[in-house]
Amino acid sequence: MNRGYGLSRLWVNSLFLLPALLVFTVFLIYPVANSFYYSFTDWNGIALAPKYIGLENYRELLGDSDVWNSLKNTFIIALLFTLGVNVIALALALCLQGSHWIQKGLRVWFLIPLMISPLAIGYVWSFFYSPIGGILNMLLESVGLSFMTQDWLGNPKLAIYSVIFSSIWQSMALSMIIYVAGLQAIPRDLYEAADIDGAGMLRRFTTVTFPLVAPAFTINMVVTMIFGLKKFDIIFIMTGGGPGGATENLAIHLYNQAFTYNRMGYGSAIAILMFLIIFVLSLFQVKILRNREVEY
Amino acid sequence: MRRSKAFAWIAMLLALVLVISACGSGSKNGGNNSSSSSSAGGSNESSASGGAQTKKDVTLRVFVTNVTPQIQELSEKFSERNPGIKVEADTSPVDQYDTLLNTKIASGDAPDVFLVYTGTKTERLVREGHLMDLSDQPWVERIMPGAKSVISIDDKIYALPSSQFVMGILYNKKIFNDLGLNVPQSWDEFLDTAQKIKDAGIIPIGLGLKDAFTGLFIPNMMAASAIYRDNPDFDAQIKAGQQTFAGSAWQQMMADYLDLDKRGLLNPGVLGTGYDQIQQMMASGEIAMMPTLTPTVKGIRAMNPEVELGMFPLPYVKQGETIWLPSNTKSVVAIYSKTKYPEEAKKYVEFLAEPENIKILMENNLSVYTDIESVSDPAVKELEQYIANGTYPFLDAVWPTTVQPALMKGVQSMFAGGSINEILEELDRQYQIGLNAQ
Amino acid sequence: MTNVSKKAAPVLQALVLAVWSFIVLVPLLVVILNSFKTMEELRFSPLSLPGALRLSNYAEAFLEANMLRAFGNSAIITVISVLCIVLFASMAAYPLARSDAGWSKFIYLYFLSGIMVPFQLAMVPLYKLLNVLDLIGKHFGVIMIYASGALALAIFLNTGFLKTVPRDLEEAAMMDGAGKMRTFWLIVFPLVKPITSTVVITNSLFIWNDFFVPLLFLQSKSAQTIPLSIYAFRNENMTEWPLIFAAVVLASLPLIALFLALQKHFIQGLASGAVKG
Repeated sequence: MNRGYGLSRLWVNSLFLLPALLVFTVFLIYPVANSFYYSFTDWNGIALAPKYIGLENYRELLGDSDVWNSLKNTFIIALLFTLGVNVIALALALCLQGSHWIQKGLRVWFLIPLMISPLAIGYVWSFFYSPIGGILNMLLESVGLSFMTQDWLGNPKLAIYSVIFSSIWQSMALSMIIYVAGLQAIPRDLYEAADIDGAGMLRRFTTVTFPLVAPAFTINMVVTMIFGLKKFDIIFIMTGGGPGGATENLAIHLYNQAFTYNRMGYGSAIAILMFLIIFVLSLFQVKILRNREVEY
Repeated sequence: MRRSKAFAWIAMLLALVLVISACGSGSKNGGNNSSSSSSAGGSNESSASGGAQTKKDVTLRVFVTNVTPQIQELSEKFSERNPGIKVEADTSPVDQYDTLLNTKIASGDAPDVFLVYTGTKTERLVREGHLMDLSDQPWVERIMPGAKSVISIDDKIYALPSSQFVMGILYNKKIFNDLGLNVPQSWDEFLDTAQKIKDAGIIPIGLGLKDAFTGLFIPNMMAASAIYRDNPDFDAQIKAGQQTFAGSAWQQMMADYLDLDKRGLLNPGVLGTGYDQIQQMMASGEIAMMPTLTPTVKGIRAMNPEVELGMFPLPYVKQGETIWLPSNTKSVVAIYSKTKYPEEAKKYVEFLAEPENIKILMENNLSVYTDIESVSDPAVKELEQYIANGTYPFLDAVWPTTVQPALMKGVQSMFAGGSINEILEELDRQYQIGLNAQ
Repeated sequence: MTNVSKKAAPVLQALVLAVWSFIVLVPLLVVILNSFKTMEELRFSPLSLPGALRLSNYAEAFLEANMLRAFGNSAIITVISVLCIVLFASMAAYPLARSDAGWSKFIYLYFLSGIMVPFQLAMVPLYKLLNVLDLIGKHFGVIMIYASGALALAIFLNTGFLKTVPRDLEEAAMMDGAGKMRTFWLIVFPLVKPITSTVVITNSLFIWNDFFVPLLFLQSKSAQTIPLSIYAFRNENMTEWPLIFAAVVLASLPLIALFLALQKHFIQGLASGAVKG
């Protein structure tokens, strides 16, 4: 390997990296860096010269009860979304691992909500959850459960769960497919061994299935958590963050601050906070989950 | 080797499509002859790609909300009359309008002519130097004095007004007649009337708080009578720090507002019901009264032409006292101070200001021009008689822009069980933040 | 399994499947049934079969919501964005997976940080940027935004996978005198097919159905994508649920049809990358 080869190697490597680097840097990193700058100003969105105010925005947001409320909601949504999706997806995957035509058909059927725009899902579920003449309440009444009818999106204690459920409804199947693939990769002889030992359903699951589905588990948990933390579209359409901030997570809150209250600077500070949280949590989660994975 | 061929094809295809998409996809109305790769704008029109053009074709960019669909046909009419000036009229949904407009302005790419909301929102734009002074335009002298003072900023005019909006209670005349009810003239009478309606098994008042802006109607109407009638300087006092929302008449107002729900006079599930549903129920007679703006009447009649409607001002007063109403002068458009086509833009606005065109823009609302008569819906006309008693602008026109969103959220919080004190304190806090930002 | 488990298992499974099938079915059924009704019919009996099939709802939705144009726009944007993502990410992953140098780790982490960036963080400066580059309202601008947002995850997947692939084939090709470019296209790229499938499918889904980015950056009616046209349509017909539902059905049909036609590949493609990655 002479020096000539070394230089041309650099050149070729750069060629491979260049398109991605260019697009990524120009259209993502550069704007983010700008936002970082704005978070130290009091920019209102239309002024031509934003004023530098140092850490004021950050001081304010630490004491802002709305930010703490959004933070709380962000965690609730992320946690329940992640748990909900993964539990349901795994449960369904366990039932759908085989190649019976019903199983194949259901795998397809459950994926249909994923093909629909979150926008449309939001509209449909809002219609569903309506307190007067809403489908869900109507259904409950028709089977004699009228004591369970609620103002699903208007009741501040309930709204967040209603939104989370709609979101799970939409995207659960994605994780489910990944679990099915993971389950199908488990060697059958391990199950036979468990059978011979007289293991019941539960033991089969805890000793064979769950440990070996770990790679799929890791990916699903990390990805659903990140999406859960970032959730915006469906909340925006269904409640806009209401009632009174009951469903407002950091993403919605920062959107409102930046665009409705015209406080771009403050909104940018909140965005930075959101990024930090996602970053730390993801790192943490990956570390924990990677250690669990079993090689076989 | 088949694979490499496939890849070569894909690479070429990709390159081809990239080139095509970068050069004019998304351009309006297809590529016209001099399409320099500009889509939403005619700003590069003069730098036509090498084509020798004897006449300079100007394209004006106009941006309004989709509440004004008439702008399309009016723009076409204008272009017919003024060959050489094309108009690209874009509309956006109301709740996105501010976001989109602000983003455009922030990036230096503002449309030439765009909608502005009367009051502090326009003021903001004026302070940052984004609007053109239109005080010398011929149509200015035709504006009614009352409206003129409302839309002036430092005695200058920056926007073309179209009509007057008023807030009031829309009511179902048939229900009132059947139950022998009269239009209430005081708060006690109002509560009484609502109670009688409730006893008859009909929902007295419809409020669609899922759409947060609907929460604003009642406070606006209350404030007009309870605060501004006797103390028109209230806002100036808040600005000067002599007054706060907390501890003012707002405490009682909000308590009375919430009281409506406590008495069961509002629709069930108020926080989960949207404005569109309330309008539906109003049209079908399931709701007897709803707080709203004068322009909404048309939509409700469209849902049910048979419904008999009337309007009265919310009588948040003691017996015998004068009722004031919130009234706003709606603007159509303003001109971007840095537009490349000031003369053409002014011509366009002048065209819009012509009486027949204003009539089209103002629809069924009240006129603000001395030479145009209000052609109103009978329900709206019923409300008109009260205007002479006294009006105050819509609150978002006089507050810093941070306060109204806080009030919207606050009303929802209040109905969700939040503390009125905290809500009013938040209003005060946002007021200060908004003041500093301006 | 114990005898009890053996008998209970299928029953339990059937129960769970039936419940979720019902949960998925009902909203979809509601949408389809009601898209054929008039508004009054819907209000009074939302759960019943439509009295008559009001196809005019669909006609109105199709024409007013600008569906054909929107479909074309969505198609162009999705296809090109995904192409860019796949090509750029797999290309970038190659040196990153094969090199152990410090700079390679650094660049890898650089890309990785992008996974956690929420869109709102870049929103406003992006508008300014696109305006300076004169890309507002143009497909290319939106394509670049989607690509920049998706590259991080795609590179992560590609790199992770490539690392597990032995270098023998590449080394053999290079011994035969093939340059790095040819080695990549002929040997490496085909090898990462599982990841490519996953990347193609997940990004196509997301981009096709996304409405926020087009809302901010593609405002004119002629450049609207499908979600955007539904959004505008809904705002203009706020109370006309049957119309809105008809529009929703129309908007979802292309993707659902595609999905049904290619389901096997779809499902396989989706899972392959994740399990191996």
